[in-house]
Amino acid sequence: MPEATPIRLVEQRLVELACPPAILQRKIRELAEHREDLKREALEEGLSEDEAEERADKLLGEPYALAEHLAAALRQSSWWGRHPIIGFCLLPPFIILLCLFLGLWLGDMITRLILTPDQLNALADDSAGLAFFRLVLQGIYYCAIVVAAALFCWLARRTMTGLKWALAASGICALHGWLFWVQVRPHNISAGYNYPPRGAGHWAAILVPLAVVLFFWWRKKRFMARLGLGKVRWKELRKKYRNAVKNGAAQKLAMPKKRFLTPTTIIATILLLAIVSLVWLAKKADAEDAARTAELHEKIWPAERAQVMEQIKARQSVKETKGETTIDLRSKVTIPLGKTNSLAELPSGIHIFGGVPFDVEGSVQLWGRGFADPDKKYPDSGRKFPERARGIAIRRKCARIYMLHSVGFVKDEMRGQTVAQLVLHYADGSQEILNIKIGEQVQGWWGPIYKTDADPGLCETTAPGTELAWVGTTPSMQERSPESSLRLYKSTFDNPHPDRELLSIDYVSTLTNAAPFMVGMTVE
Amino acid sequence: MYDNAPMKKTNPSFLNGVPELLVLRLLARREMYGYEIVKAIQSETREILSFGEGCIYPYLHYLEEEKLVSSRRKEVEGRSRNYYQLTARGKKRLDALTAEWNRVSEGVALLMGGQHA
Repeated sequence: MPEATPIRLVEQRLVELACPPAILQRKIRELAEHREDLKREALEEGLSEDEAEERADKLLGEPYALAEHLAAALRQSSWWGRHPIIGFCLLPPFIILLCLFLGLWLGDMITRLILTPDQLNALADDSAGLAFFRLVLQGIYYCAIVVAAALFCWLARRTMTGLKWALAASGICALHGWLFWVQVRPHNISAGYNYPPRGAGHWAAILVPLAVVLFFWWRKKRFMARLGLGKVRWKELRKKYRNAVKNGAAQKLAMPKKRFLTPTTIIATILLLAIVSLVWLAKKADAEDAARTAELHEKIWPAERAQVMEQIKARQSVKETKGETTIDLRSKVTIPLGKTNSLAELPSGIHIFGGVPFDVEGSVQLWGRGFADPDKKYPDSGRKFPERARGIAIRRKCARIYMLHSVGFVKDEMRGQTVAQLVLHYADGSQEILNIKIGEQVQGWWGPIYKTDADPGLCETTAPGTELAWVGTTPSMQERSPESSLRLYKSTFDNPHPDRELLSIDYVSTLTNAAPFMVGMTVE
Repeated sequence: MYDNAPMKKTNPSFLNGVPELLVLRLLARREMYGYEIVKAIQSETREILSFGEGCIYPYLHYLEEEKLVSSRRKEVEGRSRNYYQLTARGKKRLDALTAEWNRVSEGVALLMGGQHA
């Protein structure tokens, strides 16, 4: 029965309109059965076999119109078919973002199941780990694009809205892929849109959704070939049908009118409004942040920096110590003062810092794991420094020890960590250890000297006798992080045994990630 | 060729929507298959109203997607066919359509009666 030509034409048209196989099979079977009934009726009336078939075909209807009506019925019964512009042109970007969010959430859950928070942090700080995260993120993003494009192609097929709407949805997905960016930084994932697009990776994001629609088109062609359907000149049949509609010889199928506000429309509208509101709120927050940042950079921070530098300058003009001795560190210096390094602005010779005179000739730089940075991001990355400076000669009794020092490669989570020690050797053979801790006696070499919106963990020191004693900058810092400053701290340590002769002091690194250094030492 | 419009061109366009009422009404009596429905409409309306034979299926499939009717494969007298029956939702829809039709036809009848008077 389905071999009869008009039914075959209906089948071909339905396949071309991307009718799903199961629905197609049922429609064709019903039409074939109906035709058979019409033929039997004609035969009972005494018509010949050929005449009966001709009459059945005529009564059944024009194949092109019939196929269009069957497709229209399916289209009209689905929200996607009734509102293709909203469904296939506006929703794809949101579905991609939703898939991306779900993928990230799933990835996060799986990672947390496998790794402990410490392992995760270590992986985020490691460049190989970061490269792995980038790869995973790219994978999730491309999966999101494929899922979204495939979903819309499937919907276009399921609702028989046609390949053009699948192509439209994939085109929107490709446009989204062209403008959208997502990147991983240590402990941070950021995403957004940019025009013109950034990076070269977007070409893949454009091609992936187009490849998906191409795959669906190829499947349709393969299905047609499997059914043995040939090429039909639909253009002429379409023209004929349209003329018939125009002349009143045929009518377009009028399905019962549906209300626009169906539950799907309401959900889609709420979804659209929610996302538009979120984007608007994000934009508003961005604008407020930008205004606040501009105010901080242009007014508040420069004023606070000027105030701090004035206080430091005041402290550099008055000596508070009595009977002090500046220690000559020349034999221990590993980085001399120079015009090209970060100590270029530091004056050499004896100068007062934080009310205490120091003899500054260079930096006694100790080793910290931060120097082992494989990316060689810092000027001294990869250089080997001593783990301790032994036997800094003192040879006298003293009540206090003053240091002018700082520490490089400090991270947020290092607050309270001992990064260096002073080992005091007395003439009687005894020794004492004084700890130098982040946030107590010292802070990071690079950091803010303003207070507003600054993380106190990155700029406050709590030990009595410790203060910010010198600030400076370098051309590269001005370029990379103009809001930061180079910071040296003066710390005061009480000698536990002022009555004993202090022979020497060892300055020792505890070999954490941080790299401590000292530019001056004075005893009183 | 094009004498198979959804409703034949002798049916005025204001009858759009009537096919739904007719199909639901017929299915309210008993389950039927497509050919049977077309023939029932022709005979019971004395061919005043008539479907294009093939066009019953888009309506039936639409009503099925809307869950107003349901279908099942059934074999009668050696022939297997898709039989359609009214659902509870279809029954409600039929009641609403019938009430609406009665209201409209009463209004039209009153007007036509008034013209003749």
